[in-house]
Amino acid sequence: MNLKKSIISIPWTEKYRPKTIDEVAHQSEVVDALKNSLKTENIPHILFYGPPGTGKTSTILAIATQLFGPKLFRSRVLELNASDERGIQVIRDKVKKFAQLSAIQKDDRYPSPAFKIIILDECDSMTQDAQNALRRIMEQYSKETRFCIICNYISKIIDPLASRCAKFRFKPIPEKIMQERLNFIAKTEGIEIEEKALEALMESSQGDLRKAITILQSTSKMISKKTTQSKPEEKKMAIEEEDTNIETEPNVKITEELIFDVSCSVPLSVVKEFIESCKASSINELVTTCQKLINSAFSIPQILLLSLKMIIEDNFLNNLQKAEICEKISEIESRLIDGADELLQLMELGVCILENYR
Amino acid sequence: MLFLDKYRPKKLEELDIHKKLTPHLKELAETEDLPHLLFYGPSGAGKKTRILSLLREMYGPQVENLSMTQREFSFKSGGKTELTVLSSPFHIELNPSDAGVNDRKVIQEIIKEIASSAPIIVESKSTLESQFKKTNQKEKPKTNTLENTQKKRDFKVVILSEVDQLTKEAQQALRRTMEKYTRTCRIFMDCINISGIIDPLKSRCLGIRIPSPSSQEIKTVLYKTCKKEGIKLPNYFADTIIEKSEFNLRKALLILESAKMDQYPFSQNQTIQPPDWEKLIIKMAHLMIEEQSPARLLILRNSIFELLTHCIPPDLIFKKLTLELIQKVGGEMQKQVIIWAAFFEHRSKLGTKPIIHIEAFMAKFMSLYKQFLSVNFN
Repeated sequence: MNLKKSIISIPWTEKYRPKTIDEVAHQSEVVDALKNSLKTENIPHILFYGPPGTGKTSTILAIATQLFGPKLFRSRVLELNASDERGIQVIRDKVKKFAQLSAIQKDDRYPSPAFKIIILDECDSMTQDAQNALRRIMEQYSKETRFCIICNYISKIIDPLASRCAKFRFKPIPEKIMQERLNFIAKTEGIEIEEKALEALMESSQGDLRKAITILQSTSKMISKKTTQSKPEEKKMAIEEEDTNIETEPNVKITEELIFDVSCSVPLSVVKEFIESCKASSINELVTTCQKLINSAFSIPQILLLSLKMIIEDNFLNNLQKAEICEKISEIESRLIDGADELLQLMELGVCILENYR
Repeated sequence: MLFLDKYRPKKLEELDIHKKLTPHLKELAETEDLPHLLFYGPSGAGKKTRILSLLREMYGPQVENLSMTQREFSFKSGGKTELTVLSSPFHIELNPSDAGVNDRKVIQEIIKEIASSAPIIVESKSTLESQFKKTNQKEKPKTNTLENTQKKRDFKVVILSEVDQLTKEAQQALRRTMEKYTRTCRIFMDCINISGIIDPLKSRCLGIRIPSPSSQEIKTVLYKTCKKEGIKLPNYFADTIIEKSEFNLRKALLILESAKMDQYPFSQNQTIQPPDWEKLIIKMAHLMIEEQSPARLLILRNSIFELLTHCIPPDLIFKKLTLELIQKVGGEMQKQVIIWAAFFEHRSKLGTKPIIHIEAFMAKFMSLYKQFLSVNFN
């Protein structure tokens, strides 16, 4: 086995967090703008928004490290996220106090400009009141403090805050760049990955690089030591089922099935079966299929997503019917978020599809 | 002791269902940089059992030295809650949703506390162990036994149950905590509805899907249990149990045990009594079909109250009632039942008084059914 385990066990998502801003994958507009500010050693208040796993936190951490270096990092950067108490009281006390401090210390190896950065991560979960309390603080101390606000949905940030910041949107990372990054990680970790497995990885992570890396890491763990271990009976069976060639090959490959297995994405065949049973237009049959689906523990929102895709591609339905089903899917998705029961909702979707296939 | 606890598997190899997962979990247990894990699947599919066996695989038999304590947590921001905590030297298990609205604080403060205190204990152990290893290079068998009982880990495990019941705020609070303290702790979560978990959390952990066991798998377990207990289980009776269990292994074992109490040896025509609450719902469905009037609704209201006071969750009432009604009515009505059940069940989740919504569903059904009858048979 050429895979040497590092003594410190950190997940790859942390290990391969970009250390400099140049390493940040894809977000070129953001990176260009921020590089400029690195040169001038000045940054505005920043608002990052975009879907999870696109590098928002990584970017700001990279900038902060590049500006201040590890030595000053602690005294210059205040990182607050949803795991910290962030009510109005904290904003008034902790944030204000930190904002008031002046920054004089210098580290010669780094630019270390004379301001501090307050990173407010996951601002979606901050209360309106707390956000309001921030407004004046941001302006008052803008000389010695810069704020970086990070959120998934910009609509959750109140307008007065948003208008005080330079807004940067983080795009979902396109497949090509994700592949490059994943290939790089795979190479450094000494694992081989099949072309098809990469595609499967893209499919199941949907632009979320962190998720893709997590899946890659766990997959690599599940296979890497199979050859060296003494095997109990069922283990032999499992190997025969999945990877017969593993024992002969010195370098373990990650295969497509393994990725699907680990990432627990819903196979298309399952959704097909569901839609077929809707076509059969027997409610009793529909009920049993739904129960089976629930029992197999697939993620229902993902089933909705896949069936949406299948419905749209289906030529049997006319546009009106498709629209009707799509509307139903959206309604059901929002209900599921509210915590409604999965079985009943799935059955209702089934009824709707069944009606339209008649 | 119940069969359920008596024969609960303790090691990964002993797990009888989903054997395909076992080698994967073993590999996970071997590795040192393990990701956070999220086990999801319906109840009675063996999520908890699997987590505990995985822990045993990771840390050795010492994890079974469990101590249960009723801990009282007081928060910096004022207020306090009580939580039951199960812990061993290597892991701690808690159900944060028990804290109700305070779950966010539990997540924020307790996990931080656990996570930041963990390495001190473990490090000392691991250094001790490595010293021991150095001095005892020659005595290989001895070190091996030591490794078997005390496997070296740099982190502790926090098991959070029923994460899908957590409020969104609490889940948000977990996000960064999970990243920050990866050096000192890993979080294993289990949940039933994966849709109840926010995406950022899902993307931070490795999901392990645990589907319901197949009927064949349940059968194997049933026979195994019976063999150990010396019970004769006829084939037809095993099938009835599986049918009644709704692919829930826990339920299957409980049914087996209660049936044995009821009458043993099992006879050809022995029936399995559904639990009282199911009987009541079946009766309710029957009453609704029989007559549709406000007076009937009043009678049914008492039954609903009875169910709710016995702590039957409203979504379960909705589900069972829907399935019963579907069996009793035909084609067009079936669809209506499903549509309205989904509608009212969703509402009951948003509201605070489930009885209103259950009753509304019943009233809706009655009015639709009456219309249906008058159109078709008048």
